[in-house]
Amino acid sequence: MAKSSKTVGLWIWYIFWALFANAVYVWILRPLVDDLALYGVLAAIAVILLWLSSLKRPIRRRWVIYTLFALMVAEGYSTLAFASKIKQGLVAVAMLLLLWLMAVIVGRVRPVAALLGGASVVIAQVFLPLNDWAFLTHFRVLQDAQVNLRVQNSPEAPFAVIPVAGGQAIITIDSHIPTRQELEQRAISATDSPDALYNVLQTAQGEYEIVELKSVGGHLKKVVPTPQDLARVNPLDLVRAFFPYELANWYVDNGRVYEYLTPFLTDQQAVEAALDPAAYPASFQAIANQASAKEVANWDDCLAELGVKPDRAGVYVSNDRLMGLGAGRASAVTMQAESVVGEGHFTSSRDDQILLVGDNSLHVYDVNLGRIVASYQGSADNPVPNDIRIGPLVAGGRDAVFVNASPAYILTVSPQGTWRRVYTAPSQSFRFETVLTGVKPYPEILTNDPSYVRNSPVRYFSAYRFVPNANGTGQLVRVWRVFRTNVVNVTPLHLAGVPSEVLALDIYGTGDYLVISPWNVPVLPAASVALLAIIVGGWLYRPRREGEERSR
Amino acid sequence: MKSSRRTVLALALCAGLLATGCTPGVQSVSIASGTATQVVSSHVSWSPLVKALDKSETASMYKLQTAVNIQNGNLHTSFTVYGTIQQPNMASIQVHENNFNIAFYQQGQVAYQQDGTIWSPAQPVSNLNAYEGYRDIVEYAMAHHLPLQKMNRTYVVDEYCDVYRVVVPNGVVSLPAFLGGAPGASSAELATHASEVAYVFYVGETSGYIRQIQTQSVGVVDSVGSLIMQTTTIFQDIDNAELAKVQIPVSLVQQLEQGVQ
Repeated sequence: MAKSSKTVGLWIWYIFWALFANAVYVWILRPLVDDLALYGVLAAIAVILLWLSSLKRPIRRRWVIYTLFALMVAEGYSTLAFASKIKQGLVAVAMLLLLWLMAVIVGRVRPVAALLGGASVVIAQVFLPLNDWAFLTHFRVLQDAQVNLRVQNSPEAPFAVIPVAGGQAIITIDSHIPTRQELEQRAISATDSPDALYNVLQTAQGEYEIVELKSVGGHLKKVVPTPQDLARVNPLDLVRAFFPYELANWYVDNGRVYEYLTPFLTDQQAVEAALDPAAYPASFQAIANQASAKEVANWDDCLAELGVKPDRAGVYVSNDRLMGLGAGRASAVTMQAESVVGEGHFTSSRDDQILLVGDNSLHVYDVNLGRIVASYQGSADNPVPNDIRIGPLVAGGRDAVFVNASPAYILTVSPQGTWRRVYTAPSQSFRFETVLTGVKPYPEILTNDPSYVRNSPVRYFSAYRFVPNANGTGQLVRVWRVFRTNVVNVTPLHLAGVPSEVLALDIYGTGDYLVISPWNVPVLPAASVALLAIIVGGWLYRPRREGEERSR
Repeated sequence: MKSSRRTVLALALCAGLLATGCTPGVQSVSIASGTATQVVSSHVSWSPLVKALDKSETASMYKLQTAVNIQNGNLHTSFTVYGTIQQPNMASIQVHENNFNIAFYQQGQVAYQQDGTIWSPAQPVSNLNAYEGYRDIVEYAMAHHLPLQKMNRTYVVDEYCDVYRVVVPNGVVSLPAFLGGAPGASSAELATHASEVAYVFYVGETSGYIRQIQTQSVGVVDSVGSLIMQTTTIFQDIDNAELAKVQIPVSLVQQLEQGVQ
């Protein structure tokens, strides 16, 4: 009885250590190196030496080998992310057994306990891949799922956010490979243009289906979107990864919308455009205009086939007119702007205002006053892109405009309508993702930005708060950093069934998407304290005999 | 005793390196081309630039390397060109449109394009002078008395260059024929629906040719918003008969030898 409970305790300790060693790796050791370069490497070595010093000679080899075994199993399994389920399973088992055998022979680790530990690392990753553990230091991961993409043309899942009953949903794409019958049927009926058959067959293996990620009990589920939901989408939100060089062609089949890509220019046109470099700025502007018009028309055709009319969500601009202001106000206002960035309170903390982006310019339209109250003009050197975020700098403050140019900068507008650049990013690759307002005590400005010490452009998902200077400008002070790279498309979302705002995001180059929600559990401090306790415990512990186990 | 200590130390180092994912890094490749950053004089004479353009237009052969980068939201898409041009009517170029690749070969009235691995006959391009379009900009700017700025001297490819910058409205360059008359392509529409374009010319101090042209502008597209557009065009091995001579692509020769047109 006493013996068996001791064995179980030992197993639990082995499982805990396998998971904990990986957590320490993802939360402490890897971030040190990622953020602090050589200093971080030295710090990581110091931590590891401290830990090694806590292992008394009789148990040293066993625990070093077991720790390496747990880290290698986790790292090995995490590289299988792209493989099919069957391959993942087979390779995982083979890898686990081989490493386990080596650990048992070389390290003389306890066989059953070590196997349990290794398996637990693999099983934990089925729920949350190792690299995404990084989010746990500041977020609860509500979901970690994926759509199938061909990363050479769509490196990330596009997010077109639409309002649905009770919250919001995302329209995106998912790879679709037609069955043999479907393909035959489609090939024989491709008759409407000289290159129709070519298009069907050439792109058959590279098609996408338009899908909806809809909240079902707080979980995003992949469903076929209703025509009404499709009507709310701006189709240009789905094509960013290849616009304007490749054209998305949408068609309806059996109530579903599919997409295939073709080059927008014929080879001849591409060559002609290529050989006239002086005209590039104008050529590609004209090409983008045509591609946009063609895609909107194509999308609207599909909607018509589904029996609905475009019903773009929220306020939008069409043909230099601001649309969708709703009842009680002029339903359309004429203006020189091309798209709506979002709604907020820019010059007044009460009035509803709309931020518009136009011809290298920004405009604030006041819905209550019914006119533009402030305009900002960019220049050729200081361009205004369409990559802009909105949010307050301080709690309860008016909204600022976060512009992702290179370098990125923050603009504020005074109540009189004068613009001021209050912050300019120190690095060219710094970008703003969104502003979290639901957190206390100050809004967190979420960014992707590189290490200040390393000269590597690799960016990590981070949060800053704005600290004003005496002269009206300010600084960003880091609140936290999640050491996860390739975090893109960070989108605040209200999901039916979830009380607080969540964030949806993509992992670039994979098709993985996560839904996360901020939490205040002190994961990182707790892990540090636990590591310290284990090290101190190791120093105090005196093994009695050669080969005895640590008994905690 | 001593050797086991060493073993422990080696183990510790290995564990440290492994655990932190520390592997030898890869240096990113840098193109041997600089970018001027400061304006040193805001109003200089046009004559050196005009002289360089005159000389460049008469160049009989060169290598051309260009890139168009468009920022759309958080994503960047690109259109790149690499090739060799020999006046008046020979060219061999490769075009990469995002993930579509095209090759094109022309000699006189003979032209072929390659999609994937197969070459097929194409229409020859009538004007192969990649320098010529820049005359539209220089002439427009001079006629409208736009200021020519001088920027800091910069090293491009293999020589130091004098750098000139001018900002002109979008749409002053005549467009490729297939875009002429297309909706949204008239100069009036381009001027109102796109920002001005900053052209930066790099004139080789030794060679006297224009070696690099960069542009920066913002395109504005309905339903999309503004797109930051940056282009770079580099001319290399100008009039270097050894390196810039157009040659028939080997795969085209093989295909035609097999009798496949």
